[in-house]
Amino acid sequence: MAVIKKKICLLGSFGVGKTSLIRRFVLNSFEESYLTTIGVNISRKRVSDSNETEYDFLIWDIEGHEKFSQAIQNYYAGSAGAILTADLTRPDSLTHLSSILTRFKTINPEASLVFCATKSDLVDVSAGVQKTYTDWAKDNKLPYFITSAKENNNVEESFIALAGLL
Amino acid sequence: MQADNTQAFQLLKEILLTEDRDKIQVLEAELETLKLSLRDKEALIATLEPAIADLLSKKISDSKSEMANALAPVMGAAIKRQISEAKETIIDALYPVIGSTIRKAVAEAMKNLAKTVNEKIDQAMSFRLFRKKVQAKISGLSAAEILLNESLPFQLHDIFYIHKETGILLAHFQPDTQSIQANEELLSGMLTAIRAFSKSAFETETERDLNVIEYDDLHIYLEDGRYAYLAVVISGIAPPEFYKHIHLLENRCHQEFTTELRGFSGDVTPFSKAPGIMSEALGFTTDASVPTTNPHFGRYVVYLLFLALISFAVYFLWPNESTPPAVTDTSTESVRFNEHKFRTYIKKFYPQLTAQLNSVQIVLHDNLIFLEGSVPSESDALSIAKAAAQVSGNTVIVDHLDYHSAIQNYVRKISVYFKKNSAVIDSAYSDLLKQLAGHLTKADFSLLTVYGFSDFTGAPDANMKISKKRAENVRRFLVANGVQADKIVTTGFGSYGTETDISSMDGLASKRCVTFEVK
Repeated sequence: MAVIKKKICLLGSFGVGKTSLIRRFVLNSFEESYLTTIGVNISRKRVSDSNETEYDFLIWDIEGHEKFSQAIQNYYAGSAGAILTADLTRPDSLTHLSSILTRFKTINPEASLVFCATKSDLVDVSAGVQKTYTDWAKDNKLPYFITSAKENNNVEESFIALAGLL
Repeated sequence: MQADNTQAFQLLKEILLTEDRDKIQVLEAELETLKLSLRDKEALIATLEPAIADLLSKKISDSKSEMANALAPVMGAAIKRQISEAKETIIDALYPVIGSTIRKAVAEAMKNLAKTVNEKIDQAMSFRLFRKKVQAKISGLSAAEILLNESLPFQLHDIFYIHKETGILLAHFQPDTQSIQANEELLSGMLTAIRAFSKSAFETETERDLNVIEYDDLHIYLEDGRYAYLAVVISGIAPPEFYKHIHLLENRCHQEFTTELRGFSGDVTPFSKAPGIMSEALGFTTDASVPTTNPHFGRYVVYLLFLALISFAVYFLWPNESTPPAVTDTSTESVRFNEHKFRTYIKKFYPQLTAQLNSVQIVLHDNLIFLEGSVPSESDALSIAKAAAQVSGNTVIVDHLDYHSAIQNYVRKISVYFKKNSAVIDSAYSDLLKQLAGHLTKADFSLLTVYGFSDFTGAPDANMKISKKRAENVRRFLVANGVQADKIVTTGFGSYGTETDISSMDGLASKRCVTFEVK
């Protein structure tokens, strides 16, 4: 069966851990130091969904600054799917994500989406911190995952879930 | 007696100590002078100056590394400061060294170039030199330019065929299969991102795109297409015709893969034949230098002379009334286009396309003919391009044609009018609706909305009902004539307004109509 190539965007506010999520998924590594992504960085990884369709993901890690530029919107074009990310330690990142989602949907109305709440290693998940995040995912009818790139929790699962939606 | 002894002792002391006391006084005076000279910097410098050079010289000679360690931290800052404070002096000091180095490097490069050119001339004596001159005449370049191009070798490294929107690599061609390309997929993605960025960064009223990226001696030449673009990596000086070939290659790929590109969903299998097309189209460039030495060149010259003789005979001896409609008024030096003959040709052979001529332009650029503008469908574009090619005798490149806005404009102008209390389509509109159906079957659109209207007499419910029926009847007619049923929706507006141009009809009749909108 032919490998299907798909452009996937990683979306979210700055510093929520998009690059760490990709590093964990593509390279299976994690770094504590924070380097902001300027513009866009592209990675590649093969993924199989539950039907064993093989996808070649071209993952566009797009800078997450508050101010939208035309360039960022141009980067969205042609995406088959996106992983939306918000930081469990920063509820404001969820607000920003809503506006990112709106703009992304305008450009790619048919794209498949998965939501990842990141940095679960920094919060007490059992205390219900994530409720706002799960509510947001439900409101937007998105499959969601509580993830940690550091502890390698639910990272690969998120991408495989996205592959299943394509 | 005691007094005498004391006096004698004093005298003895005088005799023994006077000399030492004088010496001490002199020493004290000298010490005082030395102290003063230490406090006085200028005096100290004057004192040490004669010895300092010897001291440093001795120290450097005794322990070089210690001196280096001691001076290293300040050397950088000192040089920087000196350059900033006395730039001209530094330049004057360094120029004899750096200037001669640069001169030497340039001289070496020129020597190599001269050597290569001389070798080419030596090799090309007799028939080959003659051939170069003929080649120069034909190509429009001087023989020197041709030799220079050969001396600064042009090389094609890679051609990437990249989906414009997603940045996904569709195909990759490498003439030299030994070359290594680190990650072609990421390269394609990043090139697309750079294009997207530069497009937004330098946004202007006119559509512009990034055309060339230079990296050291590599040039990445970008040839834009409607759905995909070519990124061509070259080094050296490309001959002018190379860019024409790239343009034609993009056009060929577009024509070959239009269907696959339109519905592209990530499967690149259909594009596996693209490298073969590239290889075939640019086969002549895979050697180290371009223009390459064509082993059949002499034969081609004979063919050309033969063809010229035949053309001469045909032109002068063929009877005028039998002259074919193709007008070849182009010269070998530059492409010309006769607009009047083109329009006449269209009217004669493609009368149905006459109306489309107002929305297309023929553009001459770099000795190439481009067809631009908007037409409702690709097949119309190809017919117009075919006519232009016949008239000009040259290849016509279909470029940046906007099919969608053309079909939108076309559809917006159409209205179908109905008799009172009737939803039956008048036979007078059959041809118009068949023509519309013909365009829609060829056009790339997602949805056609048919709006039905009535006049304002009668009950609102009845008006609504008949307006819906009128729209539905038109829909049926279009479907019967080949338009995809699931791409048409109908809406009845009753007597509520009309969006169509009704100036040509008076009164109530102008309200009883159907109009269209396409998306």
